[in-house]
Amino acid sequence: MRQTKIARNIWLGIENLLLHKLRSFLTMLGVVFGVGSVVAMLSVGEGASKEAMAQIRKLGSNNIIVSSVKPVEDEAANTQRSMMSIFGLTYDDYERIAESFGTIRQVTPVKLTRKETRLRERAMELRVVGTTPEWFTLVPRSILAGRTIRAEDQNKLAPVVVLTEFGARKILATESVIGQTVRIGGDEFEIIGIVKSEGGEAGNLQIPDQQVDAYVPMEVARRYFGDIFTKMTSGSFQREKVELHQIIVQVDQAEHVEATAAGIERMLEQFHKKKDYSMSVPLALLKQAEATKRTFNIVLGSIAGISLLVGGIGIMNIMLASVTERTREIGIRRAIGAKRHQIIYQFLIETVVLSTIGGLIGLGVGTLIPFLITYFSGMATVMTLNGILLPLFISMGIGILFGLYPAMNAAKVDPIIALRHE
Amino acid sequence: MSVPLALLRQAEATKRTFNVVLGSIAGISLLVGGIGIMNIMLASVTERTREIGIRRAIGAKRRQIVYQFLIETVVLSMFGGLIGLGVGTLIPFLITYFSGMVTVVTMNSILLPLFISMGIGILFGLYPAVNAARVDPIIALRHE
Repeated sequence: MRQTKIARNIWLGIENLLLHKLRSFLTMLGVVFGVGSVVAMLSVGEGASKEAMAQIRKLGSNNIIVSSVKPVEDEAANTQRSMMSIFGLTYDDYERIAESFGTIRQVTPVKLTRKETRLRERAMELRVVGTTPEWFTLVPRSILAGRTIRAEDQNKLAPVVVLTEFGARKILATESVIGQTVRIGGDEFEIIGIVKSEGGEAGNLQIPDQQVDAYVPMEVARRYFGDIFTKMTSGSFQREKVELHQIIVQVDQAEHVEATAAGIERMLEQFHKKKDYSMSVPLALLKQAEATKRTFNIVLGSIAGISLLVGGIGIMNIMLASVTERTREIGIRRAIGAKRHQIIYQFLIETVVLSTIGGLIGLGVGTLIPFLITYFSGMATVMTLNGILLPLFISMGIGILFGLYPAMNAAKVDPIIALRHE
Repeated sequence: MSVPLALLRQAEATKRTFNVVLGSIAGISLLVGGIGIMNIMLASVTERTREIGIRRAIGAKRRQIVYQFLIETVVLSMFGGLIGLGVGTLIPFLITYFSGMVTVVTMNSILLPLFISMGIGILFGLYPAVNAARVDPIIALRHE
């Protein structure tokens, strides 16, 4: 019985709305735009943040990257020519870190040099990294040809080299060069593989393979290239002694990352007088990205929400006008026995029906827009269940909120005066 | 290799996209507000049919009726625009004060919304005003 009453009330509301088709349509349009823009914006925001986070994950969210940095004082002291600056991470640091922490899965040292490389007639300066086999398990990457560095290469001090896609392109190497010899610096190396370089950047951290052209085993790099590098800057030579350029630590669980990073920092502080290293933790970046995302979504959502508010005010305004217009109708209803709460009910249902239908249409528009954005601009957009349900409930809530005042106004009308109303 | 000019260009492109996105979302609110104005003016015209009839009967031309309603709408939207400008220039100050984010109110960003609000008044006021002018004075006078 009660249910049919509600259904009858809703039907009555729809009939009343159909009496003023243009007016109802225009009123609804406000909610359509409001809900549509909220849905669209939430999905755009969600998509943007998902992309950023996927980039950071590529760096390995369990990794801690410690890099050598030239201390500031050294820069000034270096005006004297022959001075050699010694700074950065050492082999001892690597050993110490590897031994001291139980939460570490693996530690990878990185030694970076630039060497003139020659393959047949083609010569280019390549960025060469000396590292251990663990490097290739740090970040997921695919092998285009051949194999990567193995432990036995390291033990045998085998002069082998793995090229990245970038490096291979620079010296015009293709898959067919596997097994051939390439000259790096003054020494001959055997090409054993080519790995794919994953593209993209995440914050100020670059995906490792993008900065590298070739990999050689750590011990080989140490023996063949040494620790001293000579740089030419504006006519003067600078000599730097850096043992390791990076130490990449992989922690076993994400929960241990921050504690381990703090531990490594403390350890390095003890052994380094100057701050000649820097640490970056992708997980911290990830957390920061998540916080940024939240702010971004709130800003986008609230700006879009203003349209909803404006739409709601529009509904209230038109309902107030509608109540004034229908004063006589209200008077008759009251005179033949309708109670105040029934009048409130009647107008409230009318408003809610209007805003909910508007919300549903807006939902349709709002889900369409992200598809178009993705199609035309290639930007990632993600629809979440929350992003759909929230605006729908909000539109219903707006109907109740902004319908209440006009409905109360309608109920307050004195039936005697209302009947006399022309 | 990093070229500052290239970075600057990229930053400018990003900024432009960001401004377009933010501006267009905010513009939707303006559109919704404009529709609201049109709607209420239509209701107002219906309510004042009798007034329009009398005006027409004592000699007002159609053009003058259009004028009357259009001016009403433009005045309404201009006032809304001015108040909105006040609120809108206040908010950046609050944002800077509370979050430390840098905000810049440019001459363009003041004049543009003001002209847009005026334009919205004309655009969305035209249809109700024309509707008002189309009323037949004889029927309008009989309108209860």
